[in-house]
Amino acid sequence: MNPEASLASSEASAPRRAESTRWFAGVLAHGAGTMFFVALAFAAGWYRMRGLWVLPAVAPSVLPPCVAGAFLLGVGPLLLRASRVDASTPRRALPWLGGALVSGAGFLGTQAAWLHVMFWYRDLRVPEGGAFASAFYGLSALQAVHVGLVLLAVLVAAVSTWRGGDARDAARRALAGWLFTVATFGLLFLAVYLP
Amino acid sequence: MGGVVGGEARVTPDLSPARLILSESTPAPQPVPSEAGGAGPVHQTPVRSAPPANAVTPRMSEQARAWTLSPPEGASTYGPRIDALLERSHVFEAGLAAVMLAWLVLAVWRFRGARPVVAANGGTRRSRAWVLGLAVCVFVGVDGTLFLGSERYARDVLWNLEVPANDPRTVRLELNAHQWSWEARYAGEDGRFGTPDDVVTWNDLRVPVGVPVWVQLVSTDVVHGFSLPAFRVKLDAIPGRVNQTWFQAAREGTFEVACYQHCGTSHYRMRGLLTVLSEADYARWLHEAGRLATQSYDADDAAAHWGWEWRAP
Amino acid sequence: MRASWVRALWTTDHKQVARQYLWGGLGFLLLGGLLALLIRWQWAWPGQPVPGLAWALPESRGALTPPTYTVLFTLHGLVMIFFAVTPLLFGALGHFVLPLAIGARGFAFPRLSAAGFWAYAVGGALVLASFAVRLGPASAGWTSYPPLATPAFTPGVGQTLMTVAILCVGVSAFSYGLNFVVTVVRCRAPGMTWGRMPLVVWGLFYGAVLNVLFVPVLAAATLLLLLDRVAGTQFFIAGAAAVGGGGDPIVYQHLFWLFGHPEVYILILPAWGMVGDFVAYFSRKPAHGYRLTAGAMGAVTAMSGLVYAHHLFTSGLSPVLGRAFMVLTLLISLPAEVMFLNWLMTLWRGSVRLTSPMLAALATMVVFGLGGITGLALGAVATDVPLHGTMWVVGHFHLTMGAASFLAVFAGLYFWFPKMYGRALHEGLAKAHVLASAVLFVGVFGGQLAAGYAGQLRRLYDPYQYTYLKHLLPLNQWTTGCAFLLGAAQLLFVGNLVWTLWRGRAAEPNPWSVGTLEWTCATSPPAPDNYATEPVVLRGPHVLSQPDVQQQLGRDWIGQAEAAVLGGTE
Repeated sequence: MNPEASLASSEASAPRRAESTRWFAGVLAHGAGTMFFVALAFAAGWYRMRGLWVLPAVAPSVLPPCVAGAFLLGVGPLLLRASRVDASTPRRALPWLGGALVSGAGFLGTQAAWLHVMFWYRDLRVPEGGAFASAFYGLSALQAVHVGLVLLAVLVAAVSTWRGGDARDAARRALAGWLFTVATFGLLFLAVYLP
Repeated sequence: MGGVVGGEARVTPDLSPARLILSESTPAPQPVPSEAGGAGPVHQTPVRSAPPANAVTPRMSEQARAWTLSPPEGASTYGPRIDALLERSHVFEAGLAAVMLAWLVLAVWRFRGARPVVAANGGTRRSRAWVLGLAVCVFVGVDGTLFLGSERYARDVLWNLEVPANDPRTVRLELNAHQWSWEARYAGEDGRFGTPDDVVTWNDLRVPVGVPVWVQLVSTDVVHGFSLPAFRVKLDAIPGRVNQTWFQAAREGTFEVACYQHCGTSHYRMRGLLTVLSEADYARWLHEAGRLATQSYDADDAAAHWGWEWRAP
Repeated sequence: MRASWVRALWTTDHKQVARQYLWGGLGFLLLGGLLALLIRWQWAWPGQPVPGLAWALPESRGALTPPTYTVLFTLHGLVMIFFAVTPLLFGALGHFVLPLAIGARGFAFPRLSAAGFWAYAVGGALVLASFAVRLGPASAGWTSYPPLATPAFTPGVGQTLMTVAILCVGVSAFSYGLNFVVTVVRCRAPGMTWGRMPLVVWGLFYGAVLNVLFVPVLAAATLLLLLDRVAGTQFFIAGAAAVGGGGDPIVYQHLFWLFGHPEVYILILPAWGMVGDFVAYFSRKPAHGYRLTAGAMGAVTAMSGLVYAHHLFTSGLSPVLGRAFMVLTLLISLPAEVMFLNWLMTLWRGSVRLTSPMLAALATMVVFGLGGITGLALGAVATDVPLHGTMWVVGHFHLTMGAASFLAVFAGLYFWFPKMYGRALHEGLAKAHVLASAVLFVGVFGGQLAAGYAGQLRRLYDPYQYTYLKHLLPLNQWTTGCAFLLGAAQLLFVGNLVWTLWRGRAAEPNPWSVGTLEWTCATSPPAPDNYATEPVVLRGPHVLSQPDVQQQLGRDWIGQAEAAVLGGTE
């Protein structure tokens, strides 16, 4: 590597470098969060394998998480679109960011409504429901928190765009986070929701 | 070799201090292993299978033995295989350590303040190849020996439950670990668990000599570790699962059962005795203990009926 | 604006954070060491009153009781691993050296490193607070295996506080792990290619990667345990007939060791890096096989999560898993051998200078070598059985992650102290400290290995309850003697430290005559932003005794960013 060249490139694009540093740190943090989730899902899978996984009398349907998953999947393309608007017209990103927020809220709402129904109307309680109930609520909530954090970042980006800022970098960072939430949701679906 | 009679100990396995005191006050026989059996000290020479060679060697003083780096006295038919493997790998490892130390000391002594002979890039291609080659050779030699020996032992003994499963003389033993005692259940003369003639003992295992003993192990409360130092046996007792292992005694005598997983305040007192009897003595004891157990059988004492159907491997 | 004490405590200067970690780590090292001496006392004179301890244990007149003893070994392990050695290696040395060594002005996220220290401080405060609560501190062993660690069997608040404290150090370890990785990847000075980083940076980097990957796993296990303790869930309690329910304690063991085994590499990787560097510096010679060494460290890092189940060989592991983990465990010794041979080859035909950091590095090599060799038998299923859970294991891992990490901490401290505080420690006292510690470490842990081979089990309040262990009393008394001498030898360091900080002489700008950035481009101690001008790196860290350099400069070293010599030095 030619030191002079790298020096020149580093000085030419200091803000870009800072942004990719932030992006990289975000990826690492989301990765660690995913590792945390994977460890917990491993425990859930273990209980399942050991037969300590007693499904409630009325097993939860797969339909609500499928709907929620569709909402979640919708967030990504919208964020991608928002991160690619033209630099001269950053406000063009607003509808896309808004759409991502709506879709994400749809995911959180669906999940919340489903857990609410399971708890109050299907009598799946913690800790009486055993390992299944604990994993069901615990992992769903944890995954929702992860999604919530990503959506919070999108909200901040949207507000700053609305005030005239350029939030394409923020959208790109949120996009990386979104990928990890999709991975954790898939894992959640396989380990817990799938009967 | 008096002591605990099997049938007496049908005690509710609760966690109250009363039970603890009971198990502590149980008159346990306390013979020193070397004095038991009357045959004097016995050292096993490494042999591949039963029957063992009972080479009687003069005993060195107990105090001196502490400094010899020797494992606990063995009494298992297959233990000498582990001992031999361990000894062999220790010889390799001691050699490795000696070479490493000698090399280091020699380098420091020889090149202290010397004029350095320098290659610009830290070694030549050839010297790096030597390092890699040497590392691979050491790895293949030392780790390979260990792996092959270990694998053979695991295949023949440790994970080979076929031996006790196929031997008609096998003694089956259900073991329930408590804070802080070992509760053992024998099937009795009918050979079936969960019948009135089941013999239950506390901290007192009895097995016949020269016969496979098949242990299935659970825990009532926390994780315990069932170890028979003289038999090179170790297995975790974990609540909620049945673990199993087996061993075979090579000689008569009294040995110790120890807990090796930290299981609470009195972990260090979780000591039991294992008495190896002749086959005739064992049969006599089992018969007598079974008779007492049948007499004192109480069908309503649910806590006493903790045994399970024997699980095939 | 802000009060000066706030500025002193909440500092985002990585060198200040490093000093905070240094004092915290040394304090907990002292605490953990004293606990260890009490354990050793108990094994030499079981149940005898400890002289001078009657004030703390009035009921037994200073004698250790079984409950006290369980607290001692639990806290010794937890304090040493989470609050002493890791914070010293990563928190103190790592925070200080890493940005300097790669020519950065600081960490990528300075506030994150400050927050990490305070998470550690909160955890430490919880540990200390747990001594004052009802039923005393944690007592379920450093591994906190459930169901023992659940409130059904360990009801004390102390155990809960310790669980929270572990989560706190987890936050701290994660934050510096993230910071280190990002800083090494993104913030290297121009020209500081991957192949020009000092080996210690490689070690810290790999250790940080492991922190980012596996601390979340520890957090998961600990969180579930905490829920069992405070929220009434039954992840691990159950299956135990005495308490009913339906969890499985084995899950915890898997999760714990999936973190726990990488953790031992977290504790040793920076040590390996330092040994690699110091052996080269003080043989006045480039490190032999730099790429091989860095690659071997990487291989160990990559494999570290794949060997953990050798801790569970006696847990009733299925033969398939047992075999797989046996192979993987034995395999991980190969890169360690490559690395070790590279160190030896670096010494060979060099010009060895026995300075205090060099002595400590050589001592680290010896104890690590002995520890690694004694671990081989634990990696194979059959030979693990007689040694599992005995003092052999204790001796083995204390040699590697206790003695080796400890000596490496002091190698680093003796090396960088002049840079950290601008004052030179007394060389003679430092050498005496290193030599005495190394010899006594081998004595203490050698004695434990011998006792373990004879069958002495770990964590026994009174091992001599067992007839087959009675004869080990004299051996244990000898070992305890070594341990007390080892404790006393640390006074050499304390004296040296206090005297030097009080009136030590000012350090020379480059006392070790090495070319790395922190010694050649920064003042001692460095300015708040490290470098007056950003260094442009031209060569690797070990360009020593090169003939063309000697010809032109009249010395056997050249700075990594020194533009004096043109031509092909790498």
